[in-house]
Amino acid sequence: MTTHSWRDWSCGVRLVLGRAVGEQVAADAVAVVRELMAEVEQAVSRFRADSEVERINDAAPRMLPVGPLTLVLVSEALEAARRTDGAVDPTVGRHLAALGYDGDIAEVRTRVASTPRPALAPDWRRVAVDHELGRVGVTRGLRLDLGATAKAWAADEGARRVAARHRIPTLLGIGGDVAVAGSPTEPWLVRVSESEGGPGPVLGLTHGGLATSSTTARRWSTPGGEAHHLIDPATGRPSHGCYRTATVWAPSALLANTYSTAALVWGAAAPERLSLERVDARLVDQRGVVREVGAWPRAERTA
Amino acid sequence: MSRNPRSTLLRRARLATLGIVATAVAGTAALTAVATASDGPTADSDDDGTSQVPGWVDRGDSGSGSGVVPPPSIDSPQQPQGESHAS
Repeated sequence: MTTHSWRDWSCGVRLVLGRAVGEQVAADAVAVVRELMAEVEQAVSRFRADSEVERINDAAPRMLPVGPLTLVLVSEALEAARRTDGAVDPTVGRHLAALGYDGDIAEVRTRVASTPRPALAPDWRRVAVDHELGRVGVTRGLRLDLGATAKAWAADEGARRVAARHRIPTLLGIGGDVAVAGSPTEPWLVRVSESEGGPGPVLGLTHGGLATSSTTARRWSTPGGEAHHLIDPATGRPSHGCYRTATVWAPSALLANTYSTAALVWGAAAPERLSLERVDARLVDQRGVVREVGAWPRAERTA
Repeated sequence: MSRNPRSTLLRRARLATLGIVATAVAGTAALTAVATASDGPTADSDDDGTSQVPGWVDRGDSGSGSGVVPPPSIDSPQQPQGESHAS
């Protein structure tokens, strides 16, 4: 087992190779993930003025030609919106910025937002994708934010690339989104917690991905009170459902993140909606009471 | 001895018509056989006679297909390799 950890995108990255490997293979695996993350950042980071997504946002409502990676990531974000009936909406960028979340979270916490509330409600149907010509556009007044899906997509893709390149079972965690690829001889052990390094139960992960969303993370102060980064598209404001944290298993980290984010927006309807989607989940309500959904293992070990 | 051109033409027309009819009958029979032998595009028939919509994986109550399982050993001292948390 070979493990490498580092920080990027204001969060922890953890790459675990399923068997001991030489320095050269380990270094190459890390380089594969770093390179992928750099490409994703260049394509869709909301915090880089030169990213393709920011160029699209600034050019709205014009459609701009974009690279294939941006086209994929925007398409995946729209698919997440479609799957969740819009609960996970990629057009919340202006609403997040209005709340003050327009940069690294450490910086955001040091200042108070003064941007006026957007006139338009988030609406993923107002994103246009031209697959033939490779162009993307968003209506004027909305801004794209792919934060809910791009990180999880990168975890899936990074794990797949490393596993395929070195033919070795691989676990990749990016900011708490965990993806595994390859066929390990025994399940990966993964701890589930509400915050990085926090306490929580341990379970086995055989395939697919795990993602956790929580309204307890990425909080900051605004003139209207405390805010967090999970926007309810119906209101354009931080969600206030009955669950504060959702961890979801799905066939990919992207799907897991899609449904863990949606669960907090769905609120009381989350258990039934998640069951309908046939994913397994662990929900924590505002009082800290845990509810398991689907085949989530009950006999967990607490680390 | 030369044949009447009109009767020759009629004979060829009859043969051509017979060929077309024979091809149509054989083709229809073959298509019917293939359709009968296949599972069909709209439903699968199980041994117990129930039908299932293609693409629908019935996990029932067992949760089979899930990627989350109890850890191999509850008492194992092994540390977790990954962590799923909010960020």
